[in-house]
Amino acid sequence: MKAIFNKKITFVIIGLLGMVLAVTVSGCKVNEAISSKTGAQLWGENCRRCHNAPDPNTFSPEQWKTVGMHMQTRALITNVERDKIVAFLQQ
Amino acid sequence: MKQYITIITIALLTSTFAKAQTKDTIEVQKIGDKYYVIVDHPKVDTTKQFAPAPAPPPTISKTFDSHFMVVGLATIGFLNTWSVNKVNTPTGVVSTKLPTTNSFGDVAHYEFSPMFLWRHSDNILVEFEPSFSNGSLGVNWADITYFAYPGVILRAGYIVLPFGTYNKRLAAGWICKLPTDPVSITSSPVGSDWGIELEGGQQTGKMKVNYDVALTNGFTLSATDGSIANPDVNAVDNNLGKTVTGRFGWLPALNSGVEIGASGLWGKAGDANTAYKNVSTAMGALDFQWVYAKKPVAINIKAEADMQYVTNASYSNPNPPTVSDTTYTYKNLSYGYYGMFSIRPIVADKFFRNVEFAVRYSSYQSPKGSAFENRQDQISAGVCYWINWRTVFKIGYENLITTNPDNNELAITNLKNTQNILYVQFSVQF
Ligand code: HEC
Repeated sequence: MKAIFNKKITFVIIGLLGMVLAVTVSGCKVNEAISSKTGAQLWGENCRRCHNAPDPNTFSPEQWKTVGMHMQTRALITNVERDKIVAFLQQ
Repeated sequence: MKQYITIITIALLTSTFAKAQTKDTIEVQKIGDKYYVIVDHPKVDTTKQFAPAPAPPPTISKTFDSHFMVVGLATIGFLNTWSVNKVNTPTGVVSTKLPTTNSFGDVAHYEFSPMFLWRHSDNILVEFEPSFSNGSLGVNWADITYFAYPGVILRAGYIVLPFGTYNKRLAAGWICKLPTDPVSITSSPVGSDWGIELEGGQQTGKMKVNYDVALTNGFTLSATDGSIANPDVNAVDNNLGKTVTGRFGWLPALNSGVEIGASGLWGKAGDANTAYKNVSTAMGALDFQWVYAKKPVAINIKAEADMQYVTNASYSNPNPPTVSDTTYTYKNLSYGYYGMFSIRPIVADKFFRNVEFAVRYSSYQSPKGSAFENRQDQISAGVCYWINWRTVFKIGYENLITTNPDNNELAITNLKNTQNILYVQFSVQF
């Protein structure tokens, strides 16, 4: 049990170091904040991470509001992203 | 050593992907004076996206229809299986060809699951998904979700454990690009359980992070062979110890195209007041995804590695080699992984635009020395034809090899089964 945990801790530390490295590399070049994006752009980027991006004609504006809440629990997007995406899908 | 190399390779790949992702890779096209998102919906007018501010969401109306939705999924299919058994004997390999079978209904993969969504208020959502599959009616999830603050969502009920990404995000037939699920997922005991959950997402500077933590009843341990199982939806918890499961997700790229996640799970598994009361389980998973779409192709890479560990215990041997040696023990560690790659052309042609090719490899190793030891190797390849964003017709081919080695202590003889399976499947989200 102990040996397994020690091994696992090393595993996790190496994983975290890898993540820090990747953050540093990706962080250098970015110059546009996510919050400045439009609803359509956020829809194109976030709503096709798991499945195809949904067609805005699929549901009514009230239904999109429900789906927005539902998908927030899966995609773990921020409230700002959710509200912009829902507003875009409702138009 | 092998796992360090894997981790470092993943980290390097990630940084490369992340760097490539700092530009917008969701291409928007201008035709005349209108803009179109070219992937998935070439005809969707996105001129609206250039409007300065989004319209405020309409206030909730009080009618039943506006609060209540029935959605869901349905998957049906056909399969044809060719199967061979091989046994290693002292005189050589004995090979037995099993009868070829085929079946409409595809028993293991059909599913009819309506989902009821009730938006109780701006902050509360109720979701319930009963499911008809594998010959029985069951429940995939049933929970109440409370949107407490921005970035803090609370949930209680029968929930999908936040472990890895496959179960909660990718398992639906209209989402998964291949007709089957990976063996590393189907062989893992992780599923849905009763409990409470806390989850949310945050933007931190130029990237996003998310978390998902649950406290649930936990697994049950079989006193017969040490295997662990998800309790039945009706079961009363078998001990006082609760199980903690958590996943941390990180989206390093500005366009959310890359996500890396690490999950862990700890909890008691043995029945209270038995010799197994202290037996507990620890699990871990790493997941990765990269979603890309820019002319001429859309690419999707998804991968997840899982391991399950159960602390040591002795179990009684059904076929003891001697009268005095009636118990056995083994290192109760299982592990598996899968990697999926898919590619879809972004072209003007109406037919080819809807075609997606996918390949996947998955393997799973159950504990060595256990009564249920085996290794599964699964290679899958398939073509999807997307009738629309949520309706898909799939043709797939799979090679599945299951190997059980000899175990003299438990009097188990080796067996290697090879299956080649052709699938035709149709899946919709409704
Ligand atoms: C993390 C993965 C993931 C992301 C990202 C995601 N979805 Fe989903 N989506 C799912 C899953 C899984 C389902 C199937 C139902 C379920 O599991 O609840 C689904 C189902 C749906 C459905 C069918 C109705 C429903 O509510 O179940 C719609 C519509 C939908 N998603 C829209 C969206 C939109 C809009 C976005 C962008 C904000 C989005 N999805 C992003 C995973 C995701």
